[in-house]
Amino acid sequence: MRTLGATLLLFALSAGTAYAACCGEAAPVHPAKALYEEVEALRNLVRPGASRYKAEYGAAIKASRERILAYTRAHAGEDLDSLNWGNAFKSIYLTSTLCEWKTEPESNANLRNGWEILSALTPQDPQKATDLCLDLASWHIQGWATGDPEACAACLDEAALRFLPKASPDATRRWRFVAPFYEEQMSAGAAKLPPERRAAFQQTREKAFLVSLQDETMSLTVRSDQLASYAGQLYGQGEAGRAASLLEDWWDKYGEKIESAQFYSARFHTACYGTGDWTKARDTLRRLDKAAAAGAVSREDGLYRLVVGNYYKNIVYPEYELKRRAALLNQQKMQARNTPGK
Amino acid sequence: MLYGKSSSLKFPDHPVAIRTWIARGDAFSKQGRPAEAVKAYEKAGAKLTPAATQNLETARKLLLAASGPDALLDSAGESLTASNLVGAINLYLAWLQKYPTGTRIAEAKTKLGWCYSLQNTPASLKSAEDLWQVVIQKGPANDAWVGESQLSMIRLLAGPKGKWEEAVKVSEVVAKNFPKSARGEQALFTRAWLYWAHEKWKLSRSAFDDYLRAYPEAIEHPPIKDYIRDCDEGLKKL
Repeated sequence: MRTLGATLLLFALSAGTAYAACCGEAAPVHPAKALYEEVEALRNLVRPGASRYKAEYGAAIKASRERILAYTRAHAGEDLDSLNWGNAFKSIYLTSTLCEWKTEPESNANLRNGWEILSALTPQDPQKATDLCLDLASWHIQGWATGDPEACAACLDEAALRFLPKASPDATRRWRFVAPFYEEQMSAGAAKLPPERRAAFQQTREKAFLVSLQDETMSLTVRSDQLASYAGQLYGQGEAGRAASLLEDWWDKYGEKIESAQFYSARFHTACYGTGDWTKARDTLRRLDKAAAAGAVSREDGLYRLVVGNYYKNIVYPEYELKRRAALLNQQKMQARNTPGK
Repeated sequence: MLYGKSSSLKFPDHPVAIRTWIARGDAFSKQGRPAEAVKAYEKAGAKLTPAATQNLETARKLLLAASGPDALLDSAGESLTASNLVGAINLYLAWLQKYPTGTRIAEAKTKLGWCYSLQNTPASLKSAEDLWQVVIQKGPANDAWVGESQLSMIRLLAGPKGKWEEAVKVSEVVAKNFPKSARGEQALFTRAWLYWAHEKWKLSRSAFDDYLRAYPEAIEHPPIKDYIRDCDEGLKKL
């Protein structure tokens, strides 16, 4: 029924556009804009991101994708309406990656097909196609990073190598912002790998992640957020010691320049619940208070309130008790991670 | 190897994993490797066979004889962190027997007290209290382990013993002996919190004022604002 519903909706949209154009009720809509409106309507219906593979929308997504690809081939190098065409292309790949395919290899093949088509284009703005290639890779990795981290890591490296040098400054910045978060997702996905592959994979990716954090074209706050997020991931897997060590190196390197509530929250919670180090937890709150007093962090920020709340929940515990609880928590997390099916 | 390390890691509570750890402990004991034997037996947890228990004790004694005071005390600390209370108690007792005048005696007694308090029986709580009292009476007032024993006493008095007013008095001593430190802050906060918990609004408000004088940055902390608001509202009702 939903397949039928989606098809009817698309038909109604196309018919409505044609009717409006025939009757002269409004100025004719540019075909690229019509495509964009169509794919947006579909995207609102499918709601990609809410869940993965959605069989009931497969036919509608495929039909829309093929219309956009046909338009792309027909207008390659001539009159691509850059904004609407680019948005339609991006939008259908987002929907397709997240909802049309059952497996990473299927989605990967779809991505490569997109790359191939885009590489053959000669649009007025040559960076446009390159930027789209990065966006497509981004959607693919976002959709499959936890499910198939090894394939996504290869895809991330390939996309960076092939497209980043020719991308626009905006797309480059966007990529550099999201890539570390994908590393975090891949690290989470690595928990499913067999131990011997997991260790090697995590080591390689962590190295790549740490190199990306040295990119000073990104603000220190963004990079601190990225590190905090990654450390949170490690902590969640029972790797509290490793998380604490990464946060500590950052703390030592940047000191009071750090203005990220997320970083302070990660350090506080790793110290308090991951390693049971009350002195570090207390120092973190003091530093967070300084950042708040300087106006760099809001006292209304949920993370600030969380840290302060947890500080007073734990202040009455002696450090040995925090350490004991932290050790038990880490043990439970490691056991959960090593239990098949989790 | 059929029952290798990876199986034990994946299924630590499985009987096969436990038998594997015991077998490893036995093998290490025979090879004269007490440190590895102790670790292997401890992985098997509380499900040791009687023979394995004896082997474990022997391994611990061998370890004790071979290692220096610091290694043994740190090993006891690891057992405590891992919540192996019986193992930790045995190691602390062995340490105290072997090094009755050791430089870390206050630490050993304080931590042995922690182990007993975690066992949480009337007899074990009494043992804990006795140990902490000895540390407090014999050590210098500003010694870190005296402070830790005092904080432990505060929790014992305020909790199981139900003598919260005595706990307040000990808090005042700790706050005085350890100013501008995590320990001092814990004591000042605990004092204010105990008054608050027992609805002594005037005393609690005054204690929170003391806390804020020592740690003024806390005035911006929502939980502290909430405690103070409770005190002020309580005072209005008097």
